[in-house]
Amino acid sequence: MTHAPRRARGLTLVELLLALSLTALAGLGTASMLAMIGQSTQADREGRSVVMRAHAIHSRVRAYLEPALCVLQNDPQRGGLAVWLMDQPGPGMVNLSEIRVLWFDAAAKTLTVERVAFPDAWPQSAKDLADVTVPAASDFLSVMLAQRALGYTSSQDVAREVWSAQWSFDPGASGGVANARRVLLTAQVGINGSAATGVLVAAGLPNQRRPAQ
Amino acid sequence: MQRDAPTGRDAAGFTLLEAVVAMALLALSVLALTQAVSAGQMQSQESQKQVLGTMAAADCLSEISALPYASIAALNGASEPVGQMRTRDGASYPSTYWPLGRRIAAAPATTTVSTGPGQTVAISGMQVTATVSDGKRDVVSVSVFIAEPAP
Repeated sequence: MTHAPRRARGLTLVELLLALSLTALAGLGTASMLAMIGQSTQADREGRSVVMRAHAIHSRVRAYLEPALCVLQNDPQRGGLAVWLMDQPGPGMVNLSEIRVLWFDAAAKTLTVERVAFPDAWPQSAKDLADVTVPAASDFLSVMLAQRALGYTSSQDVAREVWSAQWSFDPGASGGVANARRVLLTAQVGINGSAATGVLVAAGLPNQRRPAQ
Repeated sequence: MQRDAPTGRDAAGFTLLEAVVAMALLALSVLALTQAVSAGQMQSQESQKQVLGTMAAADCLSEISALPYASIAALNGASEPVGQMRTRDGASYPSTYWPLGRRIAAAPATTTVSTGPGQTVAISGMQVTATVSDGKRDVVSVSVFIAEPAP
Protein backbone atom coordinates (compact mmCIF):
# COMPACT_ATOMS: atom_id res chain seq x y z
CA MET A 1 0.00 0.00 0.00
CA THR A 2 1.31 3.46 -0.86
CA HIS A 3 0.26 6.83 0.56
CA ALA A 4 1.47 10.39 0.29
CA PRO A 5 3.98 11.24 3.01
CA ARG A 6 2.43 13.40 5.72
CA ARG A 7 5.06 16.05 5.41
CA ALA A 8 4.29 16.69 1.80
CA ARG A 9 0.74 17.88 2.28
CA GLY A 10 -0.30 21.43 3.10
CA LEU A 11 -2.38 22.63 6.05
CA THR A 12 -6.06 21.94 6.22
CA LEU A 13 -8.34 24.92 6.69
CA VAL A 14 -8.92 23.98 10.32
CA GLU A 15 -5.20 23.72 10.99
CA LEU A 16 -4.61 27.06 9.32
CA LEU A 17 -7.36 28.75 11.29
CA LEU A 18 -6.06 27.24 14.51
CA ALA A 19 -2.53 28.40 13.75
CA LEU A 20 -3.73 31.88 12.87
CA SER A 21 -5.78 32.05 16.06
CA LEU A 22 -2.83 31.00 18.18
CA THR A 23 -0.55 33.48 16.44
CA ALA A 24 -3.14 36.23 16.91
CA LEU A 25 -3.48 35.35 20.59
CA ALA A 26 0.27 35.38 21.09
CA GLY A 27 0.51 38.68 19.21
CA LEU A 28 -2.32 40.18 21.23
CA GLY A 29 -0.67 39.13 24.48
CA THR A 30 2.67 40.57 23.44
CA ALA A 31 1.06 43.80 22.21
CA SER A 32 -0.94 44.31 25.39
CA MET A 33 2.16 43.64 27.46
CA LEU A 34 4.14 46.17 25.45
CA ALA A 35 1.26 48.67 25.77
CA MET A 36 1.26 48.20 29.54
CA ILE A 37 5.01 48.73 29.62
CA GLY A 38 4.56 51.88 27.55
CA GLN A 39 1.85 53.23 29.83
CA SER A 40 3.78 52.57 33.01
CA THR A 41 6.90 54.08 31.45
CA GLN A 42 4.91 57.20 30.60
CA ALA A 43 3.48 57.38 34.13
CA ASP A 44 6.95 56.91 35.54
CA ARG A 45 8.32 59.68 33.34
CA GLU A 46 5.58 62.06 34.43
CA GLY A 47 6.10 61.17 38.08
CA ARG A 48 9.81 61.81 37.74
CA SER A 49 9.14 65.12 36.04
CA VAL A 50 6.82 66.23 38.84
CA VAL A 51 9.28 65.22 41.54
CA MET A 52 12.09 67.06 39.79
CA ARG A 53 9.94 70.18 39.47
CA ALA A 54 8.94 69.91 43.12
CA HIS A 55 12.60 69.63 44.05
CA ALA A 56 13.46 72.71 41.98
CA ILE A 57 10.72 74.75 43.68
CA HIS A 58 11.79 73.43 47.06
CA SER A 59 15.44 74.36 46.72
CA ARG A 60 14.77 77.75 45.07
CA VAL A 61 12.18 78.87 47.61
CA ARG A 62 14.34 77.72 50.51
CA ALA A 63 17.24 79.72 49.09
CA TYR A 64 15.20 82.89 49.71
CA LEU A 65 13.54 81.92 52.97
CA GLU A 66 16.24 80.27 55.10
CA PRO A 67 18.73 83.15 55.05
CA ALA A 68 15.93 85.73 55.33
CA LEU A 69 15.81 87.94 58.41
CA CYS A 70 12.04 88.19 58.38
CA VAL A 71 8.87 88.13 56.35
CA LEU A 72 7.93 91.73 55.66
CA GLN A 73 4.52 91.27 54.10
CA ASN A 74 2.15 88.62 52.81
CA ASP A 75 -0.75 89.62 50.59
CA PRO A 76 -2.70 86.66 49.15
CA GLN A 77 -4.88 89.05 47.13
CA ARG A 78 -1.93 90.36 45.19
CA GLY A 79 -0.10 87.04 45.40
CA GLY A 80 3.04 88.53 46.89
CA LEU A 81 5.31 87.58 49.77
CA ALA A 82 8.02 90.11 50.64
CA VAL A 83 11.04 89.02 52.65
CA TRP A 84 13.96 90.93 54.10
CA LEU A 85 16.81 88.87 52.73
CA MET A 86 19.84 90.58 54.26
CA ASP A 87 20.95 93.66 56.14
CA GLN A 88 24.04 94.99 54.44
CA PRO A 89 24.01 98.72 53.80
CA GLY A 90 22.02 99.99 56.77
CA PRO A 91 22.12 97.90 59.96
CA GLY A 92 18.68 97.21 61.32
CA MET A 93 16.83 99.01 58.50
CA VAL A 94 15.35 97.64 55.31
CA ASN A 95 16.89 99.00 52.12
CA LEU A 96 15.40 98.56 48.66
CA SER A 97 18.13 96.16 47.55
CA GLU A 98 17.47 93.91 50.55
CA ILE A 99 13.88 93.13 49.62
CA ARG A 100 12.81 90.07 47.65
CA VAL A 101 9.22 89.56 46.58
CA LEU A 102 7.97 86.12 45.64
CA TRP A 103 5.02 86.62 43.31
CA PHE A 104 2.48 83.96 42.44
CA ASP A 105 0.66 84.77 39.21
CA ALA A 106 -2.43 82.54 39.10
CA ALA A 107 -3.22 83.46 35.51
CA ALA A 108 0.25 82.73 34.17
CA LYS A 109 0.71 79.86 36.67
CA THR A 110 4.17 81.09 37.59
CA LEU A 111 6.09 81.70 40.77
CA THR A 112 8.69 84.43 40.31
CA VAL A 113 11.08 86.35 42.50
CA GLU A 114 11.65 90.07 41.99
CA ARG A 115 14.34 92.32 43.38
CA VAL A 116 15.45 95.89 42.92
CA ALA A 117 18.27 96.09 40.39
CA PHE A 118 19.54 99.52 39.44
CA PRO A 119 20.95 99.96 35.94
CA ASP A 120 24.44 98.58 35.44
CA ALA A 121 25.46 101.85 33.81
CA TRP A 122 25.02 103.70 37.09
CA PRO A 123 28.16 104.27 39.16
CA GLN A 124 28.20 102.56 42.54
CA SER A 125 27.75 105.90 44.30
CA ALA A 126 24.49 106.51 42.42
CA LYS A 127 23.28 103.00 43.25
CA ASP A 128 24.08 103.56 46.92
CA LEU A 129 22.15 106.84 46.87
CA ALA A 130 19.13 105.23 45.22
CA ASP A 131 19.18 102.29 47.62
CA VAL A 132 17.10 104.13 50.17
CA THR A 133 15.75 102.86 53.48
CA VAL A 134 12.15 101.70 53.47
CA PRO A 135 10.19 102.20 56.73
CA ALA A 136 9.23 98.95 58.45
CA ALA A 137 5.51 99.69 58.21
CA SER A 138 5.57 100.22 54.45
CA ASP A 139 3.56 98.40 51.83
CA PHE A 140 6.58 96.56 50.47
CA LEU A 141 4.72 95.07 47.53
CA SER A 142 3.72 98.54 46.35
CA VAL A 143 7.29 99.69 46.84
CA MET A 144 8.48 96.89 44.56
CA LEU A 145 5.77 97.68 42.00
CA ALA A 146 6.82 101.33 42.01
CA GLN A 147 10.42 100.34 41.37
CA ARG A 148 9.24 98.03 38.60
CA ALA A 149 7.36 100.91 36.98
CA LEU A 150 10.64 102.84 36.94
CA GLY A 151 12.38 99.88 35.32
CA TYR A 152 14.58 99.25 38.34
CA THR A 153 13.69 95.65 39.09
CA SER A 154 14.75 92.26 37.87
CA SER A 155 12.59 89.13 37.90
CA GLN A 156 13.41 85.46 37.72
CA ASP A 157 11.19 82.45 37.37
CA VAL A 158 11.16 80.18 40.39
CA ALA A 159 8.74 77.73 38.80
CA ARG A 160 6.22 77.41 36.01
CA GLU A 161 3.06 75.34 35.83
CA VAL A 162 2.26 76.25 39.44
CA TRP A 163 -1.50 75.94 39.76
CA SER A 164 -1.82 77.23 43.28
CA ALA A 165 0.48 78.60 45.94
CA GLN A 166 -0.34 79.50 49.51
CA TRP A 167 1.88 80.81 52.26
CA SER A 168 1.29 80.11 55.93
CA PHE A 169 3.25 80.84 59.07
CA ASP A 170 3.80 79.55 62.58
CA PRO A 171 1.38 80.68 65.32
CA GLY A 172 3.90 83.30 66.42
CA ALA A 173 3.01 85.24 63.28
CA SER A 174 -0.49 85.95 64.56
CA GLY A 175 0.85 89.28 65.81
CA GLY A 176 2.28 90.04 62.37
CA VAL A 177 4.16 88.07 59.72
CA ALA A 178 7.38 89.81 60.74
CA ASN A 179 7.32 87.62 63.87
CA ALA A 180 7.18 84.37 61.86
CA ARG A 181 10.01 81.93 62.47
CA ARG A 182 8.62 79.22 60.20
CA VAL A 183 7.17 79.66 56.71
CA LEU A 184 5.21 77.07 54.82
CA LEU A 185 4.49 77.05 51.11
CA THR A 186 1.85 74.63 49.85
CA ALA A 187 1.54 74.51 46.10
CA GLN A 188 0.05 72.44 43.33
CA VAL A 189 2.36 71.71 40.45
CA GLY A 190 0.92 70.77 37.09
CA ILE A 191 2.07 68.61 34.26
CA ASN A 192 0.67 68.29 30.75
CA GLY A 193 -1.94 70.94 31.41
CA SER A 194 -3.46 69.63 34.64
CA ALA A 195 -2.69 69.95 38.34
CA ALA A 196 -0.65 66.89 39.17
CA THR A 197 0.76 66.93 42.65
CA GLY A 198 1.17 68.83 45.86
CA VAL A 199 4.45 70.40 46.88
CA LEU A 200 5.30 71.47 50.38
CA VAL A 201 8.21 73.66 51.43
CA ALA A 202 8.71 74.11 55.17
CA ALA A 203 11.48 76.54 56.04
CA GLY A 204 12.72 77.94 59.30
CA LEU A 205 14.15 81.43 59.70
CA PRO A 206 16.92 80.86 62.26
CA ASN A 207 18.19 84.45 61.93
CA GLN A 208 14.75 85.98 62.39
CA ARG A 209 14.64 89.58 63.58
CA ARG A 210 12.33 92.47 62.87
CA PRO A 211 13.55 95.62 61.18
CA ALA A 212 13.96 98.72 63.29
CA GLN A 213 11.00 101.08 63.16
CA MET B 1 16.49 25.13 -15.62
CA GLN B 2 14.10 22.86 -13.86
CA ARG B 3 13.89 22.89 -10.14
CA ASP B 4 13.42 19.61 -8.32
CA ALA B 5 10.29 19.29 -6.28
CA PRO B 6 11.04 19.40 -2.58
CA THR B 7 11.17 16.03 -1.05
CA GLY B 8 11.83 14.54 2.38
CA ARG B 9 12.80 16.96 5.12
CA ASP B 10 13.08 19.98 2.83
CA ALA B 11 9.36 19.75 2.20
CA ALA B 12 8.43 19.62 5.87
CA GLY B 13 7.00 22.49 7.97
CA PHE B 14 8.09 23.05 11.57
CA THR B 15 7.95 20.09 13.86
CA LEU B 16 6.10 20.49 17.14
CA LEU B 17 9.42 20.59 18.98
CA GLU B 18 10.74 23.41 16.78
CA ALA B 19 7.54 25.39 17.25
CA VAL B 20 7.69 24.94 21.02
CA VAL B 21 11.34 26.02 21.13
CA ALA B 22 10.57 29.07 19.01
CA MET B 23 7.66 30.06 21.23
CA ALA B 24 9.72 29.49 24.36
CA LEU B 25 12.45 31.76 22.98
CA LEU B 26 9.87 34.42 22.17
CA ALA B 27 8.37 34.15 25.64
CA LEU B 28 11.82 34.38 27.22
CA SER B 29 12.73 37.46 25.24
CA VAL B 30 9.43 39.18 26.14
CA LEU B 31 9.97 38.23 29.79
CA ALA B 32 13.52 39.60 29.72
CA LEU B 33 12.29 42.83 28.16
CA THR B 34 9.55 43.19 30.76
CA GLN B 35 11.96 42.56 33.59
CA ALA B 36 14.45 45.07 32.22
CA VAL B 37 11.79 47.76 31.94
CA SER B 38 10.40 46.89 35.36
CA ALA B 39 13.86 47.07 36.94
CA GLY B 40 14.42 50.47 35.32
CA GLN B 41 11.15 51.75 36.68
CA MET B 42 11.90 50.47 40.16
CA GLN B 43 15.25 52.21 40.03
CA SER B 44 13.53 55.39 38.91
CA GLN B 45 11.00 55.17 41.74
CA GLU B 46 13.84 54.61 44.17
CA SER B 47 15.60 57.75 43.00
CA GLN B 48 12.32 59.71 43.24
CA LYS B 49 11.95 58.46 46.79
CA GLN B 50 15.47 59.68 47.56
CA VAL B 51 14.73 63.14 46.17
CA LEU B 52 11.51 63.37 48.19
CA GLY B 53 13.34 62.02 51.24
CA THR B 54 16.04 64.65 50.93
CA MET B 55 13.37 67.36 50.73
CA ALA B 56 11.53 66.00 53.77
CA ALA B 57 14.75 65.77 55.78
CA ALA B 58 15.82 69.28 54.77
CA ASP B 59 12.40 70.67 55.75
CA CYS B 60 12.63 69.01 59.12
CA LEU B 61 16.13 70.33 59.86
CA SER B 62 15.27 73.80 58.59
CA GLU B 63 12.29 74.04 60.93
CA ILE B 64 14.32 72.69 63.85
CA SER B 65 17.07 75.23 63.25
CA ALA B 66 14.54 78.02 63.93
CA LEU B 67 13.35 76.51 67.23
CA PRO B 68 14.63 77.82 70.57
CA TYR B 69 17.95 76.05 71.21
CA ALA B 70 16.83 74.70 74.60
CA SER B 71 13.95 72.80 73.03
CA ILE B 72 15.99 70.91 70.46
CA ALA B 73 17.29 68.15 72.77
CA ALA B 74 13.72 67.09 73.54
CA LEU B 75 13.22 66.16 69.89
CA ASN B 76 15.66 63.26 70.15
CA GLY B 77 13.84 60.05 69.25
CA ALA B 78 10.81 61.76 67.74
CA SER B 79 9.44 59.85 64.77
CA GLU B 80 6.65 60.05 62.23
CA PRO B 81 5.32 56.81 60.70
CA VAL B 82 5.27 56.27 56.97
CA GLY B 83 2.59 58.41 55.33
CA GLN B 84 2.07 60.57 58.42
CA MET B 85 4.73 63.23 58.14
CA ARG B 86 3.71 66.67 59.38
CA THR B 87 5.40 70.03 59.71
CA ARG B 88 6.11 71.37 63.19
CA ASP B 89 2.86 73.32 62.98
CA GLY B 90 0.83 70.23 62.09
CA ALA B 91 0.40 70.63 58.32
CA SER B 92 0.19 67.28 56.53
CA TYR B 93 2.58 66.52 53.73
CA PRO B 94 0.92 66.03 50.33
CA SER B 95 0.28 62.56 49.00
CA THR B 96 3.47 62.75 46.94
CA TYR B 97 5.31 61.91 50.16
CA TRP B 98 3.09 59.02 51.22
CA PRO B 99 5.76 56.30 51.06
CA LEU B 100 7.97 58.08 53.58
CA GLY B 101 8.32 58.56 57.30
CA ARG B 102 11.09 60.16 59.33
CA ARG B 103 12.78 60.21 62.70
CA ILE B 104 15.02 62.66 64.49
CA ALA B 105 18.15 62.15 66.53
CA ALA B 106 19.61 65.04 68.49
CA ALA B 107 22.75 64.80 70.61
CA PRO B 108 25.18 67.29 72.15
CA ALA B 109 28.28 67.71 70.02
CA THR B 110 31.33 69.88 69.68
CA THR B 111 32.94 71.08 66.51
CA THR B 112 36.17 72.94 65.97
CA VAL B 113 36.59 75.85 63.63
CA SER B 114 39.89 77.11 62.36
CA THR B 115 40.29 80.83 63.03
CA GLY B 116 43.80 81.20 61.70
CA PRO B 117 47.12 79.41 61.37
CA GLY B 118 47.34 77.00 64.30
CA GLN B 119 44.29 78.50 65.96
CA THR B 120 41.03 76.67 66.48
CA VAL B 121 37.91 77.41 68.43
CA ALA B 122 35.70 74.72 69.88
CA ILE B 123 32.00 75.34 69.49
CA SER B 124 29.45 73.34 71.41
CA GLY B 125 25.98 72.68 70.13
CA MET B 126 23.65 69.94 68.98
CA GLN B 127 24.11 67.49 66.14
CA VAL B 128 20.66 66.92 64.71
CA THR B 129 20.05 64.14 62.21
CA ALA B 130 16.85 63.61 60.25
CA THR B 131 16.49 60.13 58.79
CA VAL B 132 13.80 59.42 56.23
CA SER B 133 12.72 55.82 55.68
CA ASP B 134 10.15 54.00 53.60
CA GLY B 135 9.24 51.60 56.40
CA LYS B 136 11.62 48.89 55.18
CA ARG B 137 14.90 50.74 55.12
CA ASP B 138 16.43 54.18 55.51
CA VAL B 139 16.20 56.20 52.32
CA VAL B 140 18.28 59.23 53.26
CA SER B 141 19.87 60.72 56.34
CA VAL B 142 20.84 64.39 56.69
CA SER B 143 22.65 66.02 59.62
CA VAL B 144 23.15 69.57 60.72
CA PHE B 145 25.14 71.12 63.55
CA ILE B 146 23.26 73.80 65.47
CA ALA B 147 25.58 75.94 67.54
CA GLU B 148 24.64 76.83 71.09
CA PRO B 149 23.82 80.55 71.23
CA ALA B 150 26.13 82.76 73.21
CA PRO B 151 24.80 83.38 76.73
